[in-house]
Amino acid sequence: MSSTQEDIIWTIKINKRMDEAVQKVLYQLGYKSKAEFTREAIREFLIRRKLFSLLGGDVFIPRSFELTPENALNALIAQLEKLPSDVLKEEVETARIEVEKELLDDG
Amino acid sequence: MDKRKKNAIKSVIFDCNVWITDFLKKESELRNKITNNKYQVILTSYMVVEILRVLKRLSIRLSISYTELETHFWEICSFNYIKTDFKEPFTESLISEVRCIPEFKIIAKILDLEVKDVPYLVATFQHTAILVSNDLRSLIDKRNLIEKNLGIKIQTTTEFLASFK
Repeated sequence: MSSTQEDIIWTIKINKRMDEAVQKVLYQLGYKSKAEFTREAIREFLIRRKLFSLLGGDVFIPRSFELTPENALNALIAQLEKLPSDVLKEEVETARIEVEKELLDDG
Repeated sequence: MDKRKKNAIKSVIFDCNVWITDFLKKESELRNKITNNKYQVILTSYMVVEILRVLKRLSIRLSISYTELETHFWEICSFNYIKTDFKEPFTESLISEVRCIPEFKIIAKILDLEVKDVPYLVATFQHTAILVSNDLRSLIDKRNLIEKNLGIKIQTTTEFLASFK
């Protein structure tokens, strides 16, 4: 990877055991360099943190459900229709901007 | 060949606004058209995060538990016409989807779009789907340019419904 004026070089001191562990991961997962692995690992960590701030935690897809999709749909609609449509639109707009800022803005 | 084409399942992607205000409502014409015709609604991990974030915000407005709304959403995803384009663990799928931020930014810049629209365009392209959006300011405003460059068809909910008549 060539450097640009916007790039910053990190120098990180790590112990031998960590270095060995990273070398093992590079070998097993096919990363081209420690820098590539570190960048990806940090990025993954940040996405997890950002997901936490958006949704209050990691997202888990439930394995079993209490309601049929039909009943769940009716239950969700019953809640949403308590709010005026302009509120729904406003919240959609705000949520989309928040998700964009957290997940698609890498600075 | 024509008969096969006629019976083929078509894919559609709804933007978050369409999901919340047109699909998740009582007596939804959009839902009726989807269920009565051979359509599958594609959902990617990025789209799910947007919808869940809206539900989280709405749960605060309604003073109810977010978990309740989130669970209903996942239950709804088990309709056979909804195709989820992600796997467990969900976060891994999301990381794969949003790792191409530089590419997303380039696409947004070329087409003069907001970056948040790009995951929708990428998914629409990947699934050879129709994108339904009511975002007049961005996607709808730029749709001719998008169709010309990427071959992606974008319709408003009204236009999508009119196509069944």
